[in-house]
Amino acid sequence: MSLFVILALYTVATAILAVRTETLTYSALWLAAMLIGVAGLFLTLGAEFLAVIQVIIYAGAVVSLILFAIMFAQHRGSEPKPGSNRARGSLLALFFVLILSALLSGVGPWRVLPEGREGFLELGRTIFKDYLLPFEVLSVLLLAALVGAVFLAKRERLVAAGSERIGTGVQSQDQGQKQGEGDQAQAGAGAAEAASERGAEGKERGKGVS
Amino acid sequence: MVPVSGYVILSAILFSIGLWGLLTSRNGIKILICVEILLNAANLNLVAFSGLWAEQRGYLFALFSIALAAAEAAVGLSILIALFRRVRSLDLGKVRHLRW
Repeated sequence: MSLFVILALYTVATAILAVRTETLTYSALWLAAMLIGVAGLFLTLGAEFLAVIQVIIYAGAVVSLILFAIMFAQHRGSEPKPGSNRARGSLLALFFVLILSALLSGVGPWRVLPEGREGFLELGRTIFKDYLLPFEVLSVLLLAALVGAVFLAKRERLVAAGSERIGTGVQSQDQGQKQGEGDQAQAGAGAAEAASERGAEGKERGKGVS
Repeated sequence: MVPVSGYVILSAILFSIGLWGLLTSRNGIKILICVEILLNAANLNLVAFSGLWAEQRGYLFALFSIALAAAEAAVGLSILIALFRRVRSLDLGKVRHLRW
């Protein structure tokens, strides 16, 4: 058996286990196993850098994030029951496998080219010469996601205040002042609302000075 | 060497497994795990075709996709934690705030 077949079987088996295991923690650990299998597949394709990134970011960071979330958000008896549309979903997925395999097995004799490139060097050149702007945009996006994640996972008070405001719609100004900070971070706030908030804040500042 | 169609079929199988889990589970974190599987299937495709053409762009896209997946996981999990504080459950069937 070739390396590819072994890795493919391993990856598929761990993916099924990740999906089917009922205990969430084990499911996340199976996901880590699957991600390492995918990293191995990247290695067989000659993408060493991606394999390393896959292990560090996916199997390292994302899985530990998921584990932390599980430990935060679980107590005894809170496990939900399995979905009611299990049979339909399973059938649909099976159908998907059959269709895709039938379609793809007929397509062209593709072969992976032997390594004719300088790996890391070439990739670095591509990122920092041709795709510098998308790379920078991506870093800004990561920062935004980080700030958003911190905001969302903050204490109840702040989040609740924000959603309450959105829910009631019309509110007196002094309440708006109190909750202005939380609302500004919320993407859903309309422009007019934001403008009125800014006005309210200006008044507040004026009071502080006088 | 393994033909690329092998990788593509494997990716299709992984995608279907992820889809299966996505459709059959109601636990929020389980759904996020399945989304990760889906994203990995897509990445595998990108890398396989990048190897086919001896191109760097597919690797680059896979790299970007990994970064986006990390961002998605962070935001998704924090949403789930915020949701858990409210509903005391991860069951997405119980979340009715956004329905009308």
